Amino acid sequence: MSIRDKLSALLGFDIDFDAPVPPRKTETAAEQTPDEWRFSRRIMRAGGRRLGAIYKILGVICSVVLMSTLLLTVAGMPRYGVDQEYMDTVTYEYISHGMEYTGAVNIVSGIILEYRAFDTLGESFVLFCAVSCVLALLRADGADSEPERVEYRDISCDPILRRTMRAVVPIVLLYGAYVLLFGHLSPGGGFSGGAVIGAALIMIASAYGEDVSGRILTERVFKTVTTCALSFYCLGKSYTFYTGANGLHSVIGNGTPGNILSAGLIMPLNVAVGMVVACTIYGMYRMIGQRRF
Amino acid sequence: MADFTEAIKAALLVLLIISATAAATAKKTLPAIIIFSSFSLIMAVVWALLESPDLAITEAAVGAGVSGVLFFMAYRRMGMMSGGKGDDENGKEDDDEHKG
Amino acid sequence: MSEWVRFYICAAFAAFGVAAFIFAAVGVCRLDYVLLSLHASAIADTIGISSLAVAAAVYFGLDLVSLKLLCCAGLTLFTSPVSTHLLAELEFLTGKTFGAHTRRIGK
Repeated sequence: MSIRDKLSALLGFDIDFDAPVPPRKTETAAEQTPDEWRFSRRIMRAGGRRLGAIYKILGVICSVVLMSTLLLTVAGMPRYGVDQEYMDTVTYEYISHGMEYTGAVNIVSGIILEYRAFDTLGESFVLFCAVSCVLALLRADGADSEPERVEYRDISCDPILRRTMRAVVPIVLLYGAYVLLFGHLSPGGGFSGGAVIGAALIMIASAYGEDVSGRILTERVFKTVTTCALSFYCLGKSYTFYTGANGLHSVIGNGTPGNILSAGLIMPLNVAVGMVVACTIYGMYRMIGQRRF
Repeated sequence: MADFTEAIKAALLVLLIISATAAATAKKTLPAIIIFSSFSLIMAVVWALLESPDLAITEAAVGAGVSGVLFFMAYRRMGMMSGGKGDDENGKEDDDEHKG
Repeated sequence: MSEWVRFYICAAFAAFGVAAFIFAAVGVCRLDYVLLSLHASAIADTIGISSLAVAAAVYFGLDLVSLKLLCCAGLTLFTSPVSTHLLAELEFLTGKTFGAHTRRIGK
């Protein structure tokens, strides 16, 4: 037997390179119409050709005006960098006194979690609201009339995927925890670390299927984690606001810049924000994919 | 050396505009999702060249990774929700190949 | 002297990696069937990323940065064949044109 026959017997089938390739499916003119033209065609049908032409011209004018406004605004902004001569008092204060006031080596983390902590709380609330709305809208109740399609082959049955995920997922989780915990020392922080941890949770859910991921990553767990994280953020930052505004002494000190346990509340707040982001990402994955958490 | 960096930045920004236009005017949905992921990837490199590593890490993790996954899940759902036919090329058009 | 040697090694690896990426891009665009273009994309993931990571590691010398770069390349080397395998498995189980491109022998 030649090598090719042995290979075919091993694989069970034989790749025939001389078989005719099926021609590419040619689309008719009706299928090629993009959606926006169809909308303008409805307008033309409703109000005649003139209304359709006016709609297209107005669309072009609006786009050009918006683009030119944005480009002119960006061109009028100062150049980035520390050595520029244009720097107003707020920027100067952040850069020169940022590290000694917040204790964080990474000025960006110091700004978003110390100077502007209220805005970050608002962003976390936005994520929480988004996942709650997705949970409320996409949940498959019993009254849904859509038949549940049977999966022809669940991807979690694959042994190669399971073995690889056994080695890869701890590495990704470790990296996510590193980015989360070192947010005040190196680039990263709550949002990036939370996204990486969320991606690791997606990997677990898709590689190991329902029985393994349904034990720990349940809906109740995620609701508890999100609520506790946001409550901790509120209470911790309220304490710091109260003591800072009234000039009292707060128990949370700044520490030495460069240590992990420094920069006041920035590290616990990073962890809280990261947990919210990870739960949001995993929750959206489950709701959009399986319609049940 | 600085001119070379500026040239690369300009080329990447042009690529950004091209990929954004291609993602918006694609005829089918599946290539649009893939081009959107590539847009996020180019955006992450632009953030790194503009000296903001926080944004680069976040854009790479969220845009090129998680956002692409969520778009694909939604695209698969699009084929199922309208009774078996998606908008122009649905995600699951085979219902006669149930293998165990 | 050793500076020039390092520079030339780095340039050679970088050129090889970029060439691998160009070949892979041409392959993904030109090959019609998915099982054939998976070969091209796997070339980009493994050979391309490994060569560029070695080039960057040689450029930075014996540093912590080089170790991190090599770890990133190692992770990609570890996970890229798995994703290729999953795509090929999906095509084998549910592909519509799979029968036109292959021929079953035996039973």
